[in-house]
Amino acid sequence: MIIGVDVGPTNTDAVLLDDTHSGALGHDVSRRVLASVKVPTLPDDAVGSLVAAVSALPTAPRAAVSRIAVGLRVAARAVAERRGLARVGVLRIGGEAADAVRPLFGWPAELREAVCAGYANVPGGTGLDPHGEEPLDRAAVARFAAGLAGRAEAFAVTGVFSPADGSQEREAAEILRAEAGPDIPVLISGEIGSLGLIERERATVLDAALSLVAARITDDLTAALPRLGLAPGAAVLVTRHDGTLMSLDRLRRQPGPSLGSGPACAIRGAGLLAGVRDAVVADIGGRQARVGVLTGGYPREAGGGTASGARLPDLLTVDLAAPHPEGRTRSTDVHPASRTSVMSPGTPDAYALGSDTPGTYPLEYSYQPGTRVTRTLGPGTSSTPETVGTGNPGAHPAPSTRPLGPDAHRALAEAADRMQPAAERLPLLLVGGGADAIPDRVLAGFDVVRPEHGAVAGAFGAAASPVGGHYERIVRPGAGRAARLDAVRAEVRELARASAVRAGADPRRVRTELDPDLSVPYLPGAVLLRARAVGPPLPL
Amino acid sequence: MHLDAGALTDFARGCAVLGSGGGGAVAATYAVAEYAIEECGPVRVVSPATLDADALVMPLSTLGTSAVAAERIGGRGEPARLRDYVERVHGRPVAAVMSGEIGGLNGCLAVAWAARLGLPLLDADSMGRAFPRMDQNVLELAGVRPGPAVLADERGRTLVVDRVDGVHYELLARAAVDVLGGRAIASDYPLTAGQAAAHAVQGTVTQAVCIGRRLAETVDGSSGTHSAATPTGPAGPRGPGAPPMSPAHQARSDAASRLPVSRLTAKVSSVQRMTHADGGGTIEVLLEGIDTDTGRLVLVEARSEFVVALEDGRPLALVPDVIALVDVATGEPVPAEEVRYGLRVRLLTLPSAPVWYTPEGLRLAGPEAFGLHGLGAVPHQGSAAGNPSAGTPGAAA
Repeated sequence: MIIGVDVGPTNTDAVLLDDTHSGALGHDVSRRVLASVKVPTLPDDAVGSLVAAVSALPTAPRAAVSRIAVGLRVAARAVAERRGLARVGVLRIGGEAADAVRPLFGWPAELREAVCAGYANVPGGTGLDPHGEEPLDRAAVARFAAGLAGRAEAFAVTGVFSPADGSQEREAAEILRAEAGPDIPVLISGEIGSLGLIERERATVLDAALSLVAARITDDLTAALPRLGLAPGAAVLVTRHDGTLMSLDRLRRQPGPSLGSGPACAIRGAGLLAGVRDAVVADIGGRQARVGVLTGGYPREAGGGTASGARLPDLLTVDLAAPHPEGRTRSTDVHPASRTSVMSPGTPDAYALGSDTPGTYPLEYSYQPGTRVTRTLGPGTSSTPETVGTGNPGAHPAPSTRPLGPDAHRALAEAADRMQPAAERLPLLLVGGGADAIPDRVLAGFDVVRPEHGAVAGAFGAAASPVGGHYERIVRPGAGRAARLDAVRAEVRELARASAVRAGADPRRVRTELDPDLSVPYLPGAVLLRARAVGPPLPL
Repeated sequence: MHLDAGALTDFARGCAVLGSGGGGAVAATYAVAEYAIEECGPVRVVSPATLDADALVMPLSTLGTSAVAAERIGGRGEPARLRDYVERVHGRPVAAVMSGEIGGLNGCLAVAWAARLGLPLLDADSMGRAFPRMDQNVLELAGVRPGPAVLADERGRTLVVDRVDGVHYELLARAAVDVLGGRAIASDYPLTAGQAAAHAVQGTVTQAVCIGRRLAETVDGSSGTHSAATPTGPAGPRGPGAPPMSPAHQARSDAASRLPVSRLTAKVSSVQRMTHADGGGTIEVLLEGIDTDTGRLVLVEARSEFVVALEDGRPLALVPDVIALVDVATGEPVPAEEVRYGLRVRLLTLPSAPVWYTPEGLRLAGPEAFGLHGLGAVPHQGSAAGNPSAGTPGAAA
């Protein structure tokens, strides 16, 4: 059995899934949902909300649960509220050839002060070709680390052209660990983003800044596990923004991928529940609807590969609650590393868009003690679904009782249209706790599908997803092109596999998949090679 | 006029519009310019005619690709190094900086370098828009030679190219940039302030600021998609932080009176990308009118830049006209590469500098130069010479 949990801003969902047939989840997937619950999220207590949701699941099969996968959304709130962020030593490798913009220039001053313990830009940097490389000034890296001793709680390392050659970043990370101690988190940008130094650096710094939050949530989760009554040694996994899972250990080392993971899991879960691999997915919450795209079973990424700093789901957010007279579709790349404007590539506050935090955050949470715990038992335990609970029997609670106006409806339809890859329409999967509040007529012209258990699509997506990893590298092979490309392809595939294993996948059962080669715009001869790897978690 | 951080935002947006969907991602140089202004102060923008006619002007362009420019952001010492080299080649001091291409990322590059060098920036440039080739500029039309051109990357690797014509220069420079890994800064078509006053496109820095401010006004607090058509003009209300512009200055900058006209509000209903045998690419965007434009269909075609907008087989706008798509929701110009299905956009057009509509201008960068044949008259051709509707957004919609 697997438990999936999605700690949302309003409600926390949990599902109990039968995984006795360990093969691929087929079209009958919804029949494997043994039970689902939706409970109000406790303010400021993600782990408490998780415990409440899991406790509301039926007791009997819980001891047979071998895995629990959780979407927490804690990291996004930490950034939005500037709370619990680590002080980061920001190291750039590029020297005088890359100082035309200071690290973290353009961030709001208060965020910069909250996060930055100090920065240095040391000589070095790689390139597309060997003659683009400058040697790393190792002594300068050591001096930087020594100068921040006791002040930096984490380091972020960004080297020019590290997506093509990350060797200097790794070298610098070793020096930093040697100086500042083996336990200090050191995040390197080549593992976080693609071409675009400033955006990638920002993403890496924020990742490092989330180290403390990630460590705390990992500790809290570990401490809460005995209360859940799971099988001894059950694997605990958290969701990532590419729709896959990672271990708590990986979360501690690299928290960034948990940002944007809530929507990613809902998109993936919706597809699994509906039995489709390509669709537009609208996840309807209480205050916001998020519209994304499922491509080949995983969320479509924002930014089209090389443009954005990190691999986040491509989303449009529709504000369902704001009393504006016009449609409020806005582009939310949910990450400071992605482009939100021609001029400001990713302001940190773009994070807030991904964290269910409207402008007036923190808002009311719909916590009403003693109410709205609904339980649906599936075919595994009962022949007919049975609903129990003290409030709103017969259905999962709608997060909002406010009727939606025609403007919100129109904005939603527009967003659903905009996310279509082309005019031949993909099915529109309507999921989330608020989906029932959207009548079909609002989405006339769409092939609307409301999958069974769609109200808990995020939790289902968490439960039914594999552990994932990926790797990408830009190469310009030059002479001996074909042989060189083949060698790099094999290496990229292997590094993707290693990434999945680091995230907690069972090394014997990891499958890797190489994306088709992508050309890099305006860079003749350069190729972006990417591989993705997935596998079941390593049993403890 | 002084270009400060506030005006820079408008300027950058205006450069994106003048890029006609190309010219490189403005974000790559916007931050560089913003940082330079913070460290070195606002940039003085002057008309070329106010300088000594013999003063040496250093035009500047980025060569290479946006993707690499976003990675190799350059250094603070780079401008002085290149300037010193240019001065050594010419044997006299550089008096001012000019953008080689106002459209796209090269507008902000010139601002950044002027700030770092403490030199004035000319209210002029060599194209008045963006074009894919380096020799597609108005100085080439005026007989100014590309050399001696100085090219350098951010580590100071430097080449001087001389005794070449425009076409040969383009070939040599592209090959050099490829070997340099995809990014270099060039100061080519060197000229005097007198030549700049006589031959460059005048007033384009002011024009970009005006265009950008117009976009900001029509989106900030906007309740819909159509307030964009409200004309305010260069003499209209200006927001806080706007650069001070004297009436005399406005009268001087004829480019500032060339402002975009909103031609259509539409949904992108299909995007087709084609690669040609020569390695170039075409992007065809079909726009389906919405709201008051429901029922209209316009096809926009890009070759590096948007080059033609066709309605019922007739051009609404045709290169050298500037054609821009602006995201209705954000007010941001959308680069041709990033247009995709479902986007709600406004189609803006504006005429280029008059010299581009002369027979020589059309030969260098007109429809035929982009493989567009038999499209008939260029709709904007006469407008720059005084068509009253040219400066009134919405009038032609």
